[in-house]
Amino acid sequence: MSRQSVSPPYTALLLVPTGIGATIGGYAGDALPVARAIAAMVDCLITHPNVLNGAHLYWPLPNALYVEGYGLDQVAAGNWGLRPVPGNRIGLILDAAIEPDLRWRQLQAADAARATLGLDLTDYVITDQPLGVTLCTATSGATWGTIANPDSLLRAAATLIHQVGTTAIAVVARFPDDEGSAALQNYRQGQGVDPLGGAEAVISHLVVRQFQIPCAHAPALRPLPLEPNLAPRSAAEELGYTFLPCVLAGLSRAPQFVTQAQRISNSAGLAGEIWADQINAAIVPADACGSRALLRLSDRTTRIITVAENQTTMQVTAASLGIRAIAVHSYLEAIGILACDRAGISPLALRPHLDRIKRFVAPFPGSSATID
Amino acid sequence: MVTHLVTAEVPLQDSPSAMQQVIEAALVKQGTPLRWAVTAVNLEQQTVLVEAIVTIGEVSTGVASALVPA
Repeated sequence: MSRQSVSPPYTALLLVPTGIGATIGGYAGDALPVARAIAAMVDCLITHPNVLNGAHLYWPLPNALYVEGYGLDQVAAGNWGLRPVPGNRIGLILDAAIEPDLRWRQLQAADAARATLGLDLTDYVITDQPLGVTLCTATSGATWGTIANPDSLLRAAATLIHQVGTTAIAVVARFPDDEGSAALQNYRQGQGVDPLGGAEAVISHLVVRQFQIPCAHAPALRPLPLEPNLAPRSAAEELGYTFLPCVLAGLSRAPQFVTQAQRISNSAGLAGEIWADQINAAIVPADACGSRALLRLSDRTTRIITVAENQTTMQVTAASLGIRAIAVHSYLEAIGILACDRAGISPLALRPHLDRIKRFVAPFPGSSATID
Repeated sequence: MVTHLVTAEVPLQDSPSAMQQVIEAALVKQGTPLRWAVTAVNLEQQTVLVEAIVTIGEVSTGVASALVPA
């Protein structure tokens, strides 16, 4: 469909935080259909690896910007903007803890991305120490993680950036195999919380904070035995030996971060930079409104849409934090709100009953009575 | 540099921007906030619970990693 418009580009941010058991998007890239549907409705969709990464499965969305969580926080705060690029030179960091056979699997995935997708990868780096990933679950039920040797990760990233000219970084860290654990069994059944999500976010956050460069992470794990009763939402992560292809595809066109000092004035829309004040709407799970990015966006004109059907382990509603939001039940309804917002239509007008217009009562003495 | 999982309980604020400032001020006492989220709100006690990863210390440059041709 071709449409001529004099309206500014409409930009939406889709957030499904990782490691909180989101019923949609808490598993193997299973919020990707939501992203695809929203991308069809807006000029630009900003979303993050947890939404778009399905291990070997991914979907190139020409109007979507793949932005890691720390970068999203900075964009929401207005500190950084997003500058779309035709392509990135991706540098690969492999954790020294990865065994030789698993390392070969990652390298073959990288070579496959070069040969089959034509992606531009630089030479790779092996960290000078094992990264030492540890997984943990907090009292909220959210999964988090710590890295024993973050300096080694950052030294590897510095090598790629300063010696090779890498413009985006993919990290593969050896994660603990927890075969047989209740958490993994639940995850394979499409229930519970992704035990890896929180630690993955920490790795990419460290790199983005230090270097202001796109980064995403894929874990290295031993392949699991066949599970015939695997849940569809978890299935994408059991198709092969690595989780790397989606990360490389996402990073290949991830936007670069620009600071306020680097901001190009008089630019708007996909051809230029995108800043927080151009984000028209943000869509989040209704009980996960406590993210840094959402708190920061809630001070802006961004329309926040909360989706009740996407339940998580959090209990933080928009109302409990004083965030003004439109509450809907499903992503289907959220897409309807986006359509109305983009068209300048009040969603109330699409309902069968519409109250009569009311007179505003000025909150000071001597104001006139209302005509109701 | 080291990474730590920490928690903080802070007073509920009137606005999201004030909430964010109070949270970051509380977390800075335990390190440099890397990633955080409000994970529970107690309306009776008027408090929020925050879980976070903070970093402590500076980045050590040390030995450079070896480059390997792709």
